[in-house]
Amino acid sequence: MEPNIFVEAWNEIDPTLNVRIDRDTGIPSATNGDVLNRVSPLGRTAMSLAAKVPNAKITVYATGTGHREALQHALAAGATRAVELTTDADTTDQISIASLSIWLRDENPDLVIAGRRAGRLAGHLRWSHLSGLERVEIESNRLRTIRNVGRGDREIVTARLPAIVRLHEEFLRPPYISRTRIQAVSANTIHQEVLPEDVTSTSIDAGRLQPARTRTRLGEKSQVRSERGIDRLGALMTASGGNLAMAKRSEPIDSSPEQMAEEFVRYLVHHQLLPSGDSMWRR
Amino acid sequence: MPQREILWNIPNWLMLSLYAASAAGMIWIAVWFVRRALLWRLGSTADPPPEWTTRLGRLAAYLLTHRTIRRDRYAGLMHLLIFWGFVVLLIATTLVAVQHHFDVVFLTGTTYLVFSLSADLGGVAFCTGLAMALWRRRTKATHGRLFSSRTTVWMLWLLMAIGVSGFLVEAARIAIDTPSFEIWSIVGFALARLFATIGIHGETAVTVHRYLWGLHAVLVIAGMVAVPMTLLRHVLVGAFSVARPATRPGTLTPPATPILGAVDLAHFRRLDLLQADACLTCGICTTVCPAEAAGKPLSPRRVVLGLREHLDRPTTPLDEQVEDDALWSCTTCNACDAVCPVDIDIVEKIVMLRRGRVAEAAIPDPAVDALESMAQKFNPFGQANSARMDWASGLGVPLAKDDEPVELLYWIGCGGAFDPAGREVSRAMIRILQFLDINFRVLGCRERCTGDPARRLGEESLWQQLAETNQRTIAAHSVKTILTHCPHCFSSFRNEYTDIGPMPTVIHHSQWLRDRIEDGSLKLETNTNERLTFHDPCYLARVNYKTTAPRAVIDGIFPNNRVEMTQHSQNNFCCGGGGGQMWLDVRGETRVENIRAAHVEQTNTQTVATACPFCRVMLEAGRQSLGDGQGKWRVKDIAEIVVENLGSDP
Repeated sequence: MEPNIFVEAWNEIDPTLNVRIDRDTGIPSATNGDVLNRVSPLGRTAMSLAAKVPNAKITVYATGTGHREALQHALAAGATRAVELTTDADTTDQISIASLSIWLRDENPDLVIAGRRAGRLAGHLRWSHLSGLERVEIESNRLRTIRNVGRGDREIVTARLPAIVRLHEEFLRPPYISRTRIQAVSANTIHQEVLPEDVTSTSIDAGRLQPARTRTRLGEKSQVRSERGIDRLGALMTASGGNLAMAKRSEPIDSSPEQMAEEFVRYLVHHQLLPSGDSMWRR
Repeated sequence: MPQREILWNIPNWLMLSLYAASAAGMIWIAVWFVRRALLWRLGSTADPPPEWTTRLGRLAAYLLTHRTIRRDRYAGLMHLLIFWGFVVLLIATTLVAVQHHFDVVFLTGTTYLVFSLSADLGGVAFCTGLAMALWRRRTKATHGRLFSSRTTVWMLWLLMAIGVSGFLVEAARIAIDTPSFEIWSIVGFALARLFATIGIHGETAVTVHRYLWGLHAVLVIAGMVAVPMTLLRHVLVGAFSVARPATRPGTLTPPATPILGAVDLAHFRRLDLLQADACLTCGICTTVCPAEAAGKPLSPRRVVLGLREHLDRPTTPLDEQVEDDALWSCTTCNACDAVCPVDIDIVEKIVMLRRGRVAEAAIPDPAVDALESMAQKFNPFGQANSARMDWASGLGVPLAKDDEPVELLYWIGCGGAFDPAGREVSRAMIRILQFLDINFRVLGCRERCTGDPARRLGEESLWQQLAETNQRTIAAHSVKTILTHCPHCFSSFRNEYTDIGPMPTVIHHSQWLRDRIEDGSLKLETNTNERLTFHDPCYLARVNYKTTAPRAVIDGIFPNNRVEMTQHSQNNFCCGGGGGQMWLDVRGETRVENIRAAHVEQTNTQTVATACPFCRVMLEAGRQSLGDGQGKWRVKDIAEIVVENLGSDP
């Protein structure tokens, strides 16, 4: 099998710098020779994990302009193709989830390792979604991952392909990519694709819903069997699943509020507790 | 008239057999050499074109002086005796051959007597040197750094047999009629007398002479066969290594082709591959290695021999020959390069192997942090570039304006800008510059890391980027002189940036301070109460030979109170902070800085002065590792010491 893996790469503002925001324009800037943006370590780590999948054909994509350095970094790390996605509106770096979903669906990837929008993309495409991952393998047309569930606990989770995943942010270190390698790929072509800005959710085919994934520190399979939405919501709130979760309820979940909210909404949609209308996801 | 008939007792068939065997031996050596040369040619052609006269001059100077080997007195004397003894014997044999085959009789009368005495003295020297070599290898306890090699011992015995059999041949010849003038063949004559006492004279001696001559010839042929198979190969290969064009000390050669993965033979210079074969395995590189002394897994000899093993068996990946921890233990102090008797560039090979590891992203995490920081923030300390001048707050340090011509640029360096101890040195230098009312400028946040740590960690392209940016900035200001207190910056500017573009004069602060003291502009109060020692930074003393300037500064303040450590000047011991080790920590039995701190402790001084911000940090770390009641000394840069003793008026 030659898995078709898509990796999102992006530049981000270096959080270790003192950044000034222009009062009038709201544009951030760095001073005294600081470099404002850096290649996102999460995207770099994603690329390195993808490169470890045997025989993988890796496409790295960035949404919007201003991420060329990240794309070159990924090419130097072993990506076979780099794509810069822009919109026909050309007003913002942000591409709507709907547009991106359509593009991804048409590209027919087996696995997408994305950034913060991974959950929303998965929700749109109705593909498997996992987050907090530390390792990604593809075995017999299934995704096999190790995910960090906090406090050093890990679980092995498998999922059906195609899947959209997100890595754990805290514990993974991106490997160093030598300048020589980056220079060597500087002449490589970065493909540019312009996506339609105005896309509605009706253009996306809803795939089959995935069964609830294991979300316990104990690595148990989800105990949720109830058809009642309120039961599934209860299981979700315990972050464990079913009866076993009750004993663990007092333990905090090691996720950022934003991450928790994102996953919460995604699960609500996933368990049909919320409608999956495209309008919900549009900014 | 004193003279002798040559080859009078040797039948033609024996002589022809000798010549045939000699030719075969020469072909054997030539075939080996050509086969190895084909392997060396797998390397890149980064070497400068050969200038044979220069190379021969270098070789001759080296052989005449034995400059590097003499560092080890025993080994130096031993090699001197063997080498010059062999040379004299070779000349004597050649003269005999010329007289015989070209029918030019010149070994007569006094010439013959001088010739006989010289040849015998050469033989004595040769055998004495070999005896010293064998004595050194007699037991494992006396091997010291040497490999316990049976092949080498047999080779030494073979050479000894050649020398002794030569004397016996001479003795048998003299024993036939014992002419009185042969007393000038001092050893042969004495042995001939001995032969006579056991009845070997006259016709008996003729027969013995013939057999001994045959034995001697066989041994010589065996010696020729042994050349490529034993350490004797250094006679051929080592000469090429020693005679290579002179390189600037402590500099590195950029790879001929970009390194995008594991290094292989093609990435090395041809000289590197040749040097792998030239290694004597004497291990002196390993004995001076600070990482080895600290029990870290690095053995410089192992690195060179690993490359040789890869030449022998190219199917074995080079990565497997030298383990990662060994590579990342090197401080690039160049101590190994300085003592190698065949001038092998060991640090060059270590850095080349590191380049492969960097390309494969097989780097220790702390080194990754340092490299990432140098790439993104232009300093290895992980701090924002905008914080580069934080140390100068309130000091009124004059910044160079855009494109303003600068007479004297004070280059702070990353250590001086970000490290707390280094900042003290920067402040001290600013105090001195302002005290003397010197017109100077600093670049402020336009200054970037010189790239020295990146280059020595194996990230050549990052070094190139940083160096080009710095060189452009310096050129834009038409800088006349760069003053820096960091020996790494000093060495980079002086020896390596010149490959990128024209550079102004670079001066280390120890030289600048000495000059100010000597010209009378800097008047210092003397201190006779304090004893102190000086730690030589490797990139100042060993790489750039600057050892007297910092001592002159110290002696200007502490007359007669300076004490030297056992290892000092160009023979110094590293602080453990070079080659990126400031950010690395490969586990060993101890740390390099702890060993150096123990050296300081032995001097029983109150202060250890140094002239490098990195050395200052490492020595302080070493001091703190010392046991109770120890380490009651302080670490100071010479600039700080000068500030402490500034006079009231400039």
